[in-house]
This record gives sequence, structure tokens and C-alpha cells, in this order.
Amino acid sequence: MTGFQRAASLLAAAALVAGCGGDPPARPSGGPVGLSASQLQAASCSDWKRLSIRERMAVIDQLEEVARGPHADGATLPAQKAYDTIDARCRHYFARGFLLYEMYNRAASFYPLSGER
Amino acid sequence: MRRITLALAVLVGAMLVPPSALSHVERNSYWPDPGADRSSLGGRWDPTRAGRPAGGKVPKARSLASAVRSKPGNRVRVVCKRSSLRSAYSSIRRARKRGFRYRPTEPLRKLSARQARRLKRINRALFKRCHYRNIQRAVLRSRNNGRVVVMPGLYTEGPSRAKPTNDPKCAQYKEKSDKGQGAASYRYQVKCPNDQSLILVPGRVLSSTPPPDPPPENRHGIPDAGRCIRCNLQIEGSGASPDDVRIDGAKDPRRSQLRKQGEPVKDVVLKADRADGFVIRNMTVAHAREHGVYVHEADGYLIDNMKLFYSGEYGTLTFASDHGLTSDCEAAGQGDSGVYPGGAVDTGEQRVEPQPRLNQAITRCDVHHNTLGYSGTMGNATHVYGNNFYDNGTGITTDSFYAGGHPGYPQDSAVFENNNIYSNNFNSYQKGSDVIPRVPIPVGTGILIAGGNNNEVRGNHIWDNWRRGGMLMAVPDAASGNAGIGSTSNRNRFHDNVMGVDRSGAKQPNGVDFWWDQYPGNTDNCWFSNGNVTTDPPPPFMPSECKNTSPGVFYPTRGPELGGCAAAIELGSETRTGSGSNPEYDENQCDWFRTPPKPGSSSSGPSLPVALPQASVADFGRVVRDMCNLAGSTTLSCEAFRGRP
Repeated sequence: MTGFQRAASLLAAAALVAGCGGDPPARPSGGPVGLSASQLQAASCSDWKRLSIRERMAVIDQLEEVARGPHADGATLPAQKAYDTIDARCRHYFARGFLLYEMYNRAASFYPLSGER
Repeated sequence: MRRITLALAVLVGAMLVPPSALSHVERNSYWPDPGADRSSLGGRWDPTRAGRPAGGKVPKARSLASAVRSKPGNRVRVVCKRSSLRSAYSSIRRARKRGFRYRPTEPLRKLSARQARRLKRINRALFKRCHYRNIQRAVLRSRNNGRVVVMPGLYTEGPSRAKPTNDPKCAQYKEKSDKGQGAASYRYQVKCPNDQSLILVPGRVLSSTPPPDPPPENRHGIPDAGRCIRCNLQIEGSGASPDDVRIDGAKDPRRSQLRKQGEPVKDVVLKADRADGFVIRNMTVAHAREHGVYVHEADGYLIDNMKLFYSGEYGTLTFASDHGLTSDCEAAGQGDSGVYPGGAVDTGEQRVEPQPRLNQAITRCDVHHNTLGYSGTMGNATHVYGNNFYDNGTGITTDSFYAGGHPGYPQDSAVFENNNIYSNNFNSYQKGSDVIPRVPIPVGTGILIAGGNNNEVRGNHIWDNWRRGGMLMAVPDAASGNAGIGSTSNRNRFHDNVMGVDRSGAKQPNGVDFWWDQYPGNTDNCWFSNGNVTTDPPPPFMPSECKNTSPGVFYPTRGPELGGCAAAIELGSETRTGSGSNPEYDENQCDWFRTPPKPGSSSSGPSLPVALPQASVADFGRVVRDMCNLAGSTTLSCEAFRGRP
């Protein structure tokens, strides 16, 4: 990568993460919560909106485990970022059918550009 | 002890959230052996020893007429309803007098008097042989080289739909997969054939070898493949057109309308699992929670003369399969895509075979009114030609967004040629849409390659897509440790396409013909011989020579779109606008879900793409020169500018 290309990447990264923030939701404090594996594959924003914060965080953990993959080399997101990303998109009516794992994987794919790791 | 166990079970059950849809986690998938499998030729499952090897090539459909000829090994099972013969007669009469279509854009077909007489004769003979009321029963009785002929009528598969979904008794057959615990293993499918699907075609016997855990990175060869038991199976409708045999997965199929949403009872309507040489033709399939027709880990399949309506995700899902052909189809109303050859075999750049080859083809299909027309995450070395993609949100997309269980990352080597890709402005995100979108995509786009390599887009007619005709963007490496290397979005070629002009020669412009994110360091993407086109970035930055490296100068301007739309990484502002459960959507964050204005209309944007650097036309040459000098790349389209004072 040339210096210019690196600079371009950094600029893009800055654009990607601009405005991130907010208080982290509470982490689950034990106990089995979330969705069963068979539910996770089809879980959509409609499901997300019905979950408590604790349950959502458990789902985020499940999504992270799946995205990491069997060889632990898949891209993942920090839990807070994943929560904000899914929660922001799921607020909208048009996203009611969006699959949570699809949203997670897409965001995780681009996350390396944010320069936050 | 029993009470404690029960209490624990209740507690766990109560803490699990009941979702609106109970789906199945897919098992780790492998690519089947691409060679012909001779286990379908004989053995105790096929005592006649008649038949052909399975797989190794696309199977040929046997004619309907041959189903009524008596010959050794030609075991045909006929499925019918009481009214099937009457329905067949009336459909043949209709096809003779008024005609029919396999797909909306083709000319009307009519049966000749002779063809009609012949088809009536065949249906009469079939009706006499009919011993089955349900397709599933006939399938499970069939063996290698078998045939199931389905006579006209509505098939709801009562016994199959009565079987529970996610039956706890079947949980013992689930396994761990890329997508988590509880995946529906092949054993699960064989033992509980209607847990997931209304109709299952299990192609092979169970093997005593368990699948490896964790799965190997090399997915060539199914590690636990048993011998063929239902390979070379053909399922076909005997009507004059695909409309005559309807398999409907809706809860109330007699009231549901084919071309509207219906409440599904099963994830999949028909799944062919490890069934090499599988043929399905001349039917309509509708209303699966996920997929209409699902072909999984099969070497050799033919999906022909099929209509696929209103399934939650895909009309056809052909996953981790090889030697496949989907032809003469119509797919409409899917929440994801009409056709989806995902996780396709690496027979392109990442092949293990000596020569590259295209492994699955889709042709003569009309794919319309879906969120996506064609989609293929890791849709490697597919051949998509001679189709019509119209009235979708995006006509075609192929991508490398990592999704657990998708072998073949990154996507490469697909060929999209001689298709009509037009008027893909259907907005399934709008209130009142009859399609529920499952994925975020840019409404108004002809073809989008997101993170693919070595794809060829040639000879297509692409018009009236109000956002963009073609989009190329990188997906930063989804595999950790590769971040920023840019191993996706290289060596893609867009050439000899006709842009912004319909088949009659009338101008019907795209919003912009070609758009590129210009990810820094991407190599050898090029656009040439496409006539007069509009591009973003402008021509000096859209290389026409195929040996180049992206300078990345425009990439920073793509940040809001890529971050806000493609990745949908939370950027902050959209959560702060509006209130309540449905806040106002901030289109400045991502406008993919808005229908773009028709190009040339008063509400359409400026002629120059908004992402261009804010330089006057007079300054533009200087800006380009400076960028080219800074880039220091081998971008040939920069050559004219590099080194100038």
C-alpha cells in the first residue's frame, strides 16, 4: 500500500465510524437467554424488537460465535458495536424482515476499516 | 430428580425467546465429488441394474412420453388427485386454444392438435397407473433412476405438513455446524424427512462415518457420503404447463393466492439432499418460509420449466452443488432472491482441478418482483445468461459477505452475459409492499458485485435502473488477519454491454451506468467497449485497460454509503432522528431503501455524481493529475495525466 492509499483507507475508516457512541447496554448476568440455534438462523428484526436488552446481548454473543466460525478466523464486531448496529437498523419498519446474522456479518466484514481493532 | 429436571427444562424454555419463525440451522456443507457416481447403477437398491451413473454432468430430462412406455428398470410412480384427469383435459384444451407461457416475457406457446391429442393420451395412461396421492410417499418409494410423475392438481402434502417442525424427538440427529449448535445434519434429514421440508428427496444412504468436527477448510468431497439410493430421480408435472401442478406450502393453500404472500407451514417446500442427477420440471412451487426448491450437496441437477412464487428467502436455493442447470423458469415475490446458487464449487480461480470450468448455469428465466433477482454469496463460477431480470430491487448481486457455512470465500469467476437487466426499481422496503425484504440492498440497481473476483459482465443490455446500472465494491476481508489486504474485488471485467438503451433501441438511461468504490489497492478491474456511458468516478478513474491498480482516491467519499448501507455499521445520527418504534429514517445516512428518481425527471439529481470532489470543470484536469501523481499506481487510465506539470 502506498502512503496515499493508506491515507485514503484511514479517511474511509473515519467516515465509517463517525458518530459512534452511546451507553453500552447491560451485559447478561448469567442464565440461559437468547435464541436457540435453530431460531438464530431465521431471527429477524421483528424478533430483535421483542427481546430484552439482556436477551439481545446473548444473541449478539451467539452471532459472534457463529461469525467467528469453526476455525476462529471469521470477522466479528465488538458487542457494543454489534448492538448499536442491529438496534439502529431494526428500529425501522422496512427492516422488519432483515436477518440478524446477515446484518452482523456485513457489518463485521467492514469493521476492519474502522481502525478500532 | 425428575421434578428438578422438569423445572430446569421449563426455566430454560421460558428464557428462550419464541421467534416468529422457527428455522433450521444448516449443516456444514461440502462440495460433492464432481465425477460420475456408479453406485447408482445397481446393488440391492436397484435390482434391475438398469440406469446411468449419477452426476458428473447436468442430467438430461427423460420425456413424459417415456414414462408410459413399459421397459425394464423404468419404474414410474404416478401421483394424482381424483380430479387430475379432468384438470389435465381442461389445461390441455386451454393450452391448445388460448396458449400458455413458461415465463412472462416469452411469446405465447400453443399446443398443436396433434400435441394436444398426444398429451391427453399420455395423461390417460398415467391416470390408470396412479397409486399415490402424495408426492413425498412416491419419492420415498423411489430408488435410483426412478421417476415420479405428478398429474395436474394442488398438492398440499397433508401427511408431511402434519409432521412437527423442530420435533424434540429429532434433536438427537442434530450436529454442530459453522452456524452453531443444532444444525440439521444429513442424518436428521433422513430420519425426520418432513421436519424441515414438505417434500424431501434423500439421495444417499446414511454413512457410518460421522462428519468431521470441526470441518476441514478444504470442502471438496462429502466426508460422510453414503452410496446412491435415489440418484437420477426425476419429478415432473404431466400438465401442459407448469401452472397445472402446484405444490403449495401455505397454511391454507386453497385460499392463498400464488402470486401473493401466504403463511408458510414449512421452511422448504421441496429439498433434494445429496440427490445427484436430480431433475424437477413443469411445476409451480410457492410459499415456503425459506426456500421453494432447495438442492443441497448434489452433483448434477436440472430445474426446468418451473415457477417459483413468494417464498420467504429464495425461489431456488442450489447450495454447495455442481453440474447444475436452471432453465425456463419464473421466480417472483421472494424476500431475498429469486434464484440463489450460493456456496458454489470452487472451479474458478481457487480450483483444485487443472482447468477452470463454470459449474452451474441459469438461463431463460424471468426473475422479477423480488428483493434481489439473482443472489450468490460465494456464487463461484456460475454462468448466468439469456435471462430477464426486471422489477427487482437489485437485478443481480454476487458477494463475499461472509456467512457461516458458506464454503468458497471469496466469491469468484462468475459470468453474466447476454441478459436483459432492466427497470430494477422495485422497492420492497416501502410500506404496503407485498414482499418482505430480508436483506439490505440498493434499490434501483442492475448488477452489484460486492467483494467478488474475476467476474465477467459482458454482452448484457442494462437499462432503466434508476440508481446504477452496474456497481462494483470491495468487501474488506471478512477473515481476520487479512484486514485491509483487499483480497476481494479484483480482476472484474465489464465489457460489451449496452447501457441505457432498451431492446427496441429507445433511450432508457440508468441513474449512472457504472459505479465503482475504487477500494485502494484493488487490481485489474476494468470497463471497456460499453459505448457512451456515464460513470462514477468519471472516466479517467474507471480503467479501460485491465492491468491496473486502484489509486483509491474516491474511496473516502464512499465511506457514508459503504458504512451506512453496505455494512450498516451504526453511525449515530439515524438513531437520533424521529421517535417511537418507527423513527424517521435518515436518508442522508443511507439512501439505498429509497426509490431513486427516474433519470431525467425533474427530481433526479445533478448529472455529475454527487461523490465527485468539489472542483470546477476547469480545475478538474489538475485535480486528476494531482491524484494520479499521488497514487503512484499503474492505473493506465492515469497515464495520460501522470507526470504532467
